[in-house]
Amino acid sequence: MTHMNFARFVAVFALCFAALGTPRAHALLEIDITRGVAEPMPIAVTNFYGGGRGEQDFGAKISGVIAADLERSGLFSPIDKKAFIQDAESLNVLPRFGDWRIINSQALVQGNVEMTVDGRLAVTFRLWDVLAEQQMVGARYFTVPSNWRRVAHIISDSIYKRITGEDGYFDTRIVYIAESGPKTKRVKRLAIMDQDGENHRFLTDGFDMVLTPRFSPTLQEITYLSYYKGVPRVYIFNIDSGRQEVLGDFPGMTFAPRFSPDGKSVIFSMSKAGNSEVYIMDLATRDVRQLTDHSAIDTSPSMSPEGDRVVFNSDRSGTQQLYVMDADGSNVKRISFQKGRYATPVWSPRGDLIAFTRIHNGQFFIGVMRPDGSGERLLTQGFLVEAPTWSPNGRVLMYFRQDRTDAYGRGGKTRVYSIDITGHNEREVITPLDASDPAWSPLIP
Amino acid sequence: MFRNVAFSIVFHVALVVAAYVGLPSFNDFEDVQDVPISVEIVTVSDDTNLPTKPKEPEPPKEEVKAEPKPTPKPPAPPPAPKGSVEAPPEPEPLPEPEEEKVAVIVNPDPKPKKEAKPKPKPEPKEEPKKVEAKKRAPTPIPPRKPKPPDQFASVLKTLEELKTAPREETPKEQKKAEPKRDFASMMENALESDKSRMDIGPELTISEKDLVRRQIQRCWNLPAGAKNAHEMIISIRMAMNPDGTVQQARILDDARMSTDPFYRTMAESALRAALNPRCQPFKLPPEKYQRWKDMKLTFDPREMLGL
Repeated sequence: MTHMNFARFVAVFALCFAALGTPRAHALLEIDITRGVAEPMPIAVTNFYGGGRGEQDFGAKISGVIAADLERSGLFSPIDKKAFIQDAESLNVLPRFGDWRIINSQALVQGNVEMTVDGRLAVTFRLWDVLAEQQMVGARYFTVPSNWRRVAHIISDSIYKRITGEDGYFDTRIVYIAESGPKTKRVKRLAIMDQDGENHRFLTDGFDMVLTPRFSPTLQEITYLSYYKGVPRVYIFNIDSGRQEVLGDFPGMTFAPRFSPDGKSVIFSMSKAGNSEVYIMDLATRDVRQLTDHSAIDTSPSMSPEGDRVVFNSDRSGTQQLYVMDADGSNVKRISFQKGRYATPVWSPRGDLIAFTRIHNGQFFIGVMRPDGSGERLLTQGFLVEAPTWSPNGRVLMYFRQDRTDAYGRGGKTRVYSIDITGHNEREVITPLDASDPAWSPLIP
Repeated sequence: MFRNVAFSIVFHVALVVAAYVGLPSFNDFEDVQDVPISVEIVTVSDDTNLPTKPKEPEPPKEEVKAEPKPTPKPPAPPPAPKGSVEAPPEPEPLPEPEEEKVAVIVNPDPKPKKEAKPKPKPEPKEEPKKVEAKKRAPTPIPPRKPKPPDQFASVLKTLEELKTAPREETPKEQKKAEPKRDFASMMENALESDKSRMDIGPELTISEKDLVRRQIQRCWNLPAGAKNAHEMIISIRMAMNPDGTVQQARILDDARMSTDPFYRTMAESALRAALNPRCQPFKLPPEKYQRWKDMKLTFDPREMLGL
């Protein structure tokens, strides 16, 4: 009896599904795509249209900077302008998408430049999805003509953000240590430049040695270590005002400073009687709190973007390893377990990764791991690679690389490089002198 | 007693109808969920490896998938419905079907594939040799998977792997070619398979699907470094022209597009893959147009990210 009923039930059930399902489920071909490629997206960056001569020049220069920015990110490959079919003037009316598909472009950047009556530049741009035939983003900027380069970077950021889903990093600066002179008498100056190497200038005169510059994540401020009169101390330097102040007079030597993610505190190490511990100082009140207390060396602290945790470096296990603790110093956990020593941990502004330097078998590596220590990947290696710093979107790392010196102390070229967190697109950042210890600014406000 | 049963049936039917009609995205959702059952995938790829392109390869395939271990009988449409009721949900049976299949068709070591190519397959599709032992489904492929890691080109580079081979898209990668059969479609098949066959002709063979898959994969340029990229699975619905070009494509699950920029990025990359003229027309058999004029692509980046 129950069997009968059950059978009947199933039959009804089935019928009802069959009746409903037939029209919908008819011959839908389903295919799973589980594999793709990671290659730069072909993008056409056209010269921005200008009515007059001067406007045209600006249009061409702006488009050049945008194309260079996008290309440098490794995520885009700008198409040679010679291949373009549609000209700038008709493009200014409406893109003929077929013309852009033919040259295999997937995105199209187009714009125009006008000089306003009060002598300012009005720059308009649009980003088009060539395949979907839709505008993805568009904007108009007003600025003084001398500021055209920044406008170009801002447009690059906007394109990058629209296509990749994360903030750009083109409207940023790099501060680093410019080195010159022989190894025995090295002159180290604080220098700053745009992210693409333009607008380079020195911030200090090289009289006192400077080290480990770090950008504030919120302001155009830098904290760094300077040996003023031979005493190493942490200073803060305001780029806009040029003002420089010492973080505080401490009994011991202070070093390895970094801003907290809100920019309101500085976390650093201080060494007293041969033992260094991690401290944090509130910049407004100048209150100092000690976070670690261990007989081993604790240093190189870096805070998570939420400000609730700190990664640092300690030799409490016998060798230098990475540890994570809560922001109040509790709950210390070791996260690095592979062979070798680990140093200079830096928490990504995106929060998902910690970059570090690993030293193993006489080689240096730059790598990333998740904050729980899993997923470690080594991105690059060398005789000496060190001091990773994150782009503000957490997508790119910059670090410096030093070559081996020969028996006579020659060589030892030191340069700054950038690399994508996927491990691809490693390139040198061109600097006029030897360069070390780069630090990436936040997006310029 | 009968009354009760009748009530029960009526309510169940009502419930089913309500669920079916009232939740339009039910199907999609279910698909996504089912994706992790990767076992079938393996089976499929074996088939694919066989160069033969038989007239009617798919009926057996369905069966293999549908029935769990007990009945190894390949060609038996009738049992399907019953088996299906309990079989599909459980992921366990993975290894078994694989084994059977291996025993029957494919030899454990790679080379036989080549020789197994007695019947000339018309299209010179590159041979999809290895099945990958993804982390996701490590168990199923025990014996014949000696060359594991670099095969799948993760888009995330790490120095250790670098030494062997950086990234490059290798062909092999087969994934479940088989559209997943949910309860409804199984019933449908069982009940009116004859009719529907008549209507729209034979189903696509796995090789045919693989060909398209590979075409599209070449054009999927995914945002590898995006945050949480591994949590995003994108479905694209496409209306096809008879010449194999895409007439129209749209992203399913639009809601998340506006709230999650990373998701939007991933979804747009999938849409571009579907629309990219470089990868069209899709090499689909024109005589089976009725079978593929409506397509759904599911883009799953997890494998690419080594997860």
